[in-house]
Amino acid sequence: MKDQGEVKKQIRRIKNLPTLPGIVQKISRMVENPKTSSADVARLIAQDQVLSAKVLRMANSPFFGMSRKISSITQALVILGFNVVKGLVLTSSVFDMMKQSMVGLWEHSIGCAAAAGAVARHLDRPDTEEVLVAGLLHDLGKVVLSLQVPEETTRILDLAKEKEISFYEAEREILDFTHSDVGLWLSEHWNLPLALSDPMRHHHQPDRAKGAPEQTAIVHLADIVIRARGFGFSGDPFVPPLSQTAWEILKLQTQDFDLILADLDSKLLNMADYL
Amino acid sequence: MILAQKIVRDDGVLLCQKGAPLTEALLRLLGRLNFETVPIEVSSAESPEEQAARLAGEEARLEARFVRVQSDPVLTELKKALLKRLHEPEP
Repeated sequence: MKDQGEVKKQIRRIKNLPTLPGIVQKISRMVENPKTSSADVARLIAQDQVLSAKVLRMANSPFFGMSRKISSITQALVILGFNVVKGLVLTSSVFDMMKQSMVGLWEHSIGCAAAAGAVARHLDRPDTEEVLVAGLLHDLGKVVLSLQVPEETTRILDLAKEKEISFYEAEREILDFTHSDVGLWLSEHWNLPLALSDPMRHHHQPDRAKGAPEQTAIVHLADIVIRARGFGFSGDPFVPPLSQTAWEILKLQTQDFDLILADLDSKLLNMADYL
Repeated sequence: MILAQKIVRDDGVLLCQKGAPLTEALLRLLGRLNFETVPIEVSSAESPEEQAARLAGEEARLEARFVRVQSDPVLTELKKALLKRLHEPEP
């Protein structure tokens, strides 16, 4: 059995992961440069035609509910913004592999994104697309765990099943960190904005999210709603506890669940085409 | 053509809702997941007994998912909302 330090070192070696795209870092660097235009970023993404097609497919999916078709990466950048497109580049690259070996987690991520979108729309937020992408990416730490330390991940899954505890609790017993910590390392590595990194890092403890507390609260609730709905599988079958802080931040009433669930179901109905 | 019943994998994961159009993409997905047949007839697809058994199974799975948060009043309302949708699905 590997010691904790070795496991952590292995996880931190994410830059060697072939499936995780260097293009995300390139985009980060470009965005930091004030002279960079949308066209420059679009040209970079367009160099990879398969990636561009995947990003456009996601951008035009029923998730975003755009009234007109987004036909180019430049248009996606203007309409959806840098953060959303960057999140979609990441999603498109990583999730291909999930569809083959982690179907349940892929479905959970898609479902959580749809639920986050439903909550954000209900709250009439202007950043619905970004919150939705935060939902898509929230469990990316689990993907990396599963790829980098598959033996430990199997032990975590087995322990969660055997003791009827959550994947999160089992992670803490077997590793001395969780997929949320891995999410933090990933977002630092890719220089993701707080609106995406805080939900990845704190969706289990939203009271700790200081940079993007509202977005994190939405993803926290979306994770609960999609698990309650029984869509996908993220390591255990249980509905996680609701953070009182998150509930207070969102200022929702329990009566709102009817409308949120109706919106969510209408999106899940069209999901099969994007699985 | 639309699905007469929702499609659920062996482990309980919901793949597609009842009423979803049977698209090429959906057929490819189901093929990849080794589904050989899918129910496509809407009328008389389910007898009252079959419906009662299906609902009982779905309710039991819903209860099991909430087993660790039974004392939370907000999540109890979420469960009630899901139960309501189970019994009165929207058209």
